[in-house]
Amino acid sequence: MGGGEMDEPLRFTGNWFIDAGILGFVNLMEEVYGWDLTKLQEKLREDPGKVYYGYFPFAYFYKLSGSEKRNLIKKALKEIEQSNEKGKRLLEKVWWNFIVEAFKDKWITWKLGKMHEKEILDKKGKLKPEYNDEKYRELIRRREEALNKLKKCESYIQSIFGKRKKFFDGEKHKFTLEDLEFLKDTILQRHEKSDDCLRLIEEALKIHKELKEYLKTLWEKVRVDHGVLADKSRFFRIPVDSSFYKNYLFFNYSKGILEQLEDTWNLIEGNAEYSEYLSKIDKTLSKFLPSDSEFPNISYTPLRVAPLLKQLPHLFVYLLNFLNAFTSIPSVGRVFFYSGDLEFTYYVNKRLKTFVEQASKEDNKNINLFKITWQAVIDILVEYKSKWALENMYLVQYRKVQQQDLIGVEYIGIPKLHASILLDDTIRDALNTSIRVGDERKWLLEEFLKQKPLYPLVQMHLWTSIKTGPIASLRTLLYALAVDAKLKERAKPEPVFKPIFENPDRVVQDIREFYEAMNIARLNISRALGEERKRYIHPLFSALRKHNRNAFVNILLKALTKAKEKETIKYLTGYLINRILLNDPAWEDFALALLVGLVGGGSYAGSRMESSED
Amino acid sequence: MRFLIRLKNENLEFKVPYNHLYYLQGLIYRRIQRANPDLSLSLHRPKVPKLFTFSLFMTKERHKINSNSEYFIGRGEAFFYFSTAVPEIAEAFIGGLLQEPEVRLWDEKFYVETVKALPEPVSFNGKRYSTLSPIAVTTLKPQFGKLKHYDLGPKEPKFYENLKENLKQKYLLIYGKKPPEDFEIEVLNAKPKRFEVKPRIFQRAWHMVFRAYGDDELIRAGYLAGFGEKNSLGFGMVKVDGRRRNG
Repeated sequence: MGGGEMDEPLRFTGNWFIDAGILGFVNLMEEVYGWDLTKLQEKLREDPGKVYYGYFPFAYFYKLSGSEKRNLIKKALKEIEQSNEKGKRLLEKVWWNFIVEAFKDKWITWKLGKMHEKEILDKKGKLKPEYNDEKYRELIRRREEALNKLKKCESYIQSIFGKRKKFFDGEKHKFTLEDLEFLKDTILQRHEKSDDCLRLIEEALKIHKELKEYLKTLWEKVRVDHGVLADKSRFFRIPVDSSFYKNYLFFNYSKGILEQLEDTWNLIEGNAEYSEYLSKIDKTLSKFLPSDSEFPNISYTPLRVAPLLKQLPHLFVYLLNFLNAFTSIPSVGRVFFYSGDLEFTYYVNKRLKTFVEQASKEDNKNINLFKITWQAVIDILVEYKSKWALENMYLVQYRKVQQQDLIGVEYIGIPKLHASILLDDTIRDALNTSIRVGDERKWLLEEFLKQKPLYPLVQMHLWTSIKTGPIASLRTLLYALAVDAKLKERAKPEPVFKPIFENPDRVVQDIREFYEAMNIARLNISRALGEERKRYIHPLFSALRKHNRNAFVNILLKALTKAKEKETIKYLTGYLINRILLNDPAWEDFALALLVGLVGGGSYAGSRMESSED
Repeated sequence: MRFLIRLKNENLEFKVPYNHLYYLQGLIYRRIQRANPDLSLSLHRPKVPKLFTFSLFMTKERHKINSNSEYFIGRGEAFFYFSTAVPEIAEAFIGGLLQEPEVRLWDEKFYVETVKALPEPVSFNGKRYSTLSPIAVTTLKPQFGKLKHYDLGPKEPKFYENLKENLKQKYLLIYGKKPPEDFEIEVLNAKPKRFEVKPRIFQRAWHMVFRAYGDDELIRAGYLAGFGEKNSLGFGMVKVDGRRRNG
């Protein structure tokens, strides 16, 4: 993977907030059109204008509409693909032809839902701008009157609904749109044609239908005419809402369909001069950002958008898609994994989503966020063999958009040293295992990533195995100790002028070398002590628990006086002296490796014969 | 690093020559050669500190035979200490001992019963030390127109001067950096000893109790590799007094 390749039109900027938007943009396009990142990059290379002015606005509003008209997507795709229009013309075409069509049901439902004339009038009794249509008013009034007449049929209506809801408040009806739809569906099945109440209901439903048809005709005309009169703009406002993006004009209730189109155009175009709210990066752009008046000392709040737009002309497109970067996890909230690389971030989040879906299918409500996030990271790592730095990764988490409640931005970056270890397939595979520790299981990789020592876990696991068996893969245990030893070695104070970064390859090489040394020592100790090896386990464990290095070594030196094989003695003497007696930071890891041998036996750790509970 | 080697004789009582350092040195060299022949060769280079030392041969009980005898009678457990600043030497010697635990010294046969690694003191400056084998310091003095070796004693200022220079040389070899100057000893007790280190070659050395002051690493170099000269012949091994023995 190489997210930074120059021929990729879409790249991360290094600013997690904007990058979340870029990923959200990619996710949106995938959700609506089924394009993955590669396909989207291809489309952007071919004709970025079509993507930003055509495909994007349709996808964005289609998602907002909640429509499930898949045919409309196909139609829009074809039309945009074949279109010769560019820029604003293309946007207008998409707007009037497809976005309007996508919102048809929602708009009609919204308008139909006004059950009383009063709702559409202002205090002076004049029509509110968003309901500014005389015939609409007339039909609303007539439907209301017809429904009020049903007062005398209240008990009959209640029998239809089969519930004790109050449908009248004095002479005024309290029907909702859902009630009318229910009545419509149920009444068809009734055959008491002579009944007066039934007749009255039919009368009301007839007007309701007329209103619906009228609205349909109006909306269809908007689509066909590609426009509305200025004074009707509010009436035909596209019903979108977002408390998160309230400051974007097209979400503002005071703006009509024409202003919404204009706002969308300016956003895509990156025209910051168009409105004050677009000019600075602060809370007005997103609830995740601080306000420049509340936090004037934060360096970026007074930052103007203009310089950013020079680098990212479609900045607002990304900012609009910020929320699309997040994956919803039950009982956790909404989560977004971020690293500095678009491709990697994209694939990890995708995998994260798959894990969540899988857990949901299995009805698993207790998702371990840390575990699935890292599992996703590791899976992608294995799959793509990427050589990126694992540093600077973030997990952003919040619970609700409506309340603009940000739980916290959790940083899950790991040091370079840990990253280089994680990149090694062998070590990672060895640690990607859960071992039994007392009554619970511990995922070694999780502890490693949390930068906790692995030694205590291996020690406790061995103790558990001694008491109740079985022992985990010896390879896993020895690699855990080798990694732990390397990290301890690194933790000791360094000379002031030592190079800051150790070569990552060297680190991995050292761990492998430690592992080999431990593995050979483990085999040798089993061989040297033979049948008597079990007798040494408890005294050695006791010495280790007391952190008594000399006692540990002396037990074995004494045992070695009785050993037979000269090569075994030679190796172990060197091991005891160099890896334990002279190894102040990590002697316990090398000592415990010998116990792994005594408890686990002498089979070769790399073989398939090893005992394992993976 | 330092080890205690406990030996067991096949008999309850056994002879021990007073001049036994030569035999112990032979044992150490043979075992090192067995485990690491290359190292053994490098240890035979002359005029370079070998950075290891060992103690006198000790027994749980010792009995004089008579005042002219070259031997005393040891009884029960026998042991000696081995110390080095070079892990490779420790590895070779201890490995060699464990590989071949049967030990022949002078005319006696011993078996290595245990080898114990001993913990190192946490600090060295200001501690009281006593010798486990006497300290030898020499100088060259003109005699009949020729420079001859002369064994120095603690009443001669040159003794301290040479002791310090020798320690600095070991420091340089062990740590690979410029040695510090900060070192002096205060002798609390001293007793001369004369050893025949090789046939008809004698060395006068001093059993001493002293306090050492100065740079911790510098004193440690003496603790590990021995104070004074001829450490690989078994001179200059000291222990810290008043330390609790463990391990």
